[in-house]
Amino acid sequence: MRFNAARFFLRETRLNIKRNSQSGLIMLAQTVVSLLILGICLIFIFNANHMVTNFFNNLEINVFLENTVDDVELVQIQRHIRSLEGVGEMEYISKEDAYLWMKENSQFNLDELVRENPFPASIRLKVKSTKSIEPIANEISSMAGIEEVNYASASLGKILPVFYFIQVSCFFLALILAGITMFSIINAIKLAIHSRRQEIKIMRLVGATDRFIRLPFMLEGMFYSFTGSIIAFALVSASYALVMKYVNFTNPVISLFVSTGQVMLNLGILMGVIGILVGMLGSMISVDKHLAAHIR
Amino acid sequence: MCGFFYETMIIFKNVNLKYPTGIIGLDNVSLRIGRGDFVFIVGSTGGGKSTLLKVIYAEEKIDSGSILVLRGDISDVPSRLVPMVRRSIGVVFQNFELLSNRTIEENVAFTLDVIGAPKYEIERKVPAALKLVGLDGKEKNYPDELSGGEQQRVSIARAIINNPPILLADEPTGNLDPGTSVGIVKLLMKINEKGTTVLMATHDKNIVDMFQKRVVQIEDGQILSDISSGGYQDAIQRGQVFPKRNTAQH
Repeated sequence: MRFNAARFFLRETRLNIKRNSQSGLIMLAQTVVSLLILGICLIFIFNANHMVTNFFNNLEINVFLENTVDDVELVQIQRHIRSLEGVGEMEYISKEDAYLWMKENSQFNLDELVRENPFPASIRLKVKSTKSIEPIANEISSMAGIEEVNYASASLGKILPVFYFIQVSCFFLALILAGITMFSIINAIKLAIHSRRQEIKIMRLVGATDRFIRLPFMLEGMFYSFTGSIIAFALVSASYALVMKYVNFTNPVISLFVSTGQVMLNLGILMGVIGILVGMLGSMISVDKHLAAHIR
Repeated sequence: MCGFFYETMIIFKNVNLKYPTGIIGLDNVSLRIGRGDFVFIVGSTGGGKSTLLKVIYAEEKIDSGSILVLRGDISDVPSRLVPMVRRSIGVVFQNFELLSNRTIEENVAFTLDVIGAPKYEIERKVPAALKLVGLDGKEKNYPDELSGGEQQRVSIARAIINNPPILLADEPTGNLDPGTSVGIVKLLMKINEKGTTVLMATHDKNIVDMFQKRVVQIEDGQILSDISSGGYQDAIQRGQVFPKRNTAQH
């Protein structure tokens, strides 16, 4: 029984798509455009999230040591730093380790570019709060044997609200776009229903349940919105990959942005789910409206 | 369960229906239709013939009163159960209501398709229904390729394929020539002889006179007469001399 119903639904959906190919194509185009913009919004949200998370995970100070610092002085410096209030974990990176890390993370062949190791030894330390980062850095700068102190400026904290703004506005924009996509599906399904109103009337007269009548239209809406989301996803992720290729080429070390692979995974899942949900809800609203227009 | 319920298929009790436009559809209608009855519903256009049929298959909702169809009160049935009621009622329309983009076979199978009937049942019942209405051999034709009478036969086959105990025919001969009309009514009689209760709304005097069956006259939403057998004029005269005015008989 269920198999026969499934067979009927699939056949009806296939016939609907075939019969309404023109309005279907319009629906597909509208869905692609809306989901394309929605995909771009999602990328902004991902990257804003990534940057905020990075900022909080990397409240750290890099202390570069002079080449003349010996083991005894190193121990003294480390002891002094540890005694400062607000200092968390600490890690010593030798000159050799720094060279190896750069070698692994650079797209250039360091062995060919440099004759001797130019990188200084350093101490990387975590700071417990944004407020203490600047006093700690100043204290360390004044110590003997320190060449340079690098840290994320406290002013970076001031741009956090901007990231939050981007996150929130992109989220709402994404919601609006999902609504627009749904609206276009509602209209396209409305056209499909109009062309099949006699069929629906007969279905009702011979005892088809509303759920039975609704399902082929829902499958049709889901087909178009899911196809639209696949096309939009392909376009957005390909564009992102291109942009990231350029960004990584010009700035090979710092990863400010979410990697292409991560974006593809998250974006693919989200756009697929949004596509299916929007198509399902849109067509459901459309059919229910039509069915409710009749008394029973 | 008493025999009374088994014998009575449809009972109208003081049924009223007023359309949103203010037009009265049914005015305190009481009527009883028994199992295996063949009833002609006659009356002028807009008198309430179609409305009387529509309330039986829950296409229109009544304002007051009750309608018992197959022992269930249709006026009280929740919307989600209406499809189940409709599966026990076949409906035939004046304009056939066939799907032009489907073959005859597909049109008839549609009824079983939409209730999720298994394939073997469809394959068994469709040819049998088409044979009963005299359309075997035309399974692969499309409705446009058939005559009006043949199209109405398809519509009847679709209505009876599920073996409904009740068949409602709303002006089924309205678009057909007299000769073809007789053929269609004979077909409905044949179905009735198999035990199906048939209600046929018509204003075709010749047809009513020819078959001498039970005739119910309805005008302005009120039942004027109800005769157990006779012709069109008999019913009209009964309505004029002994106006029934909404009392149940049979």
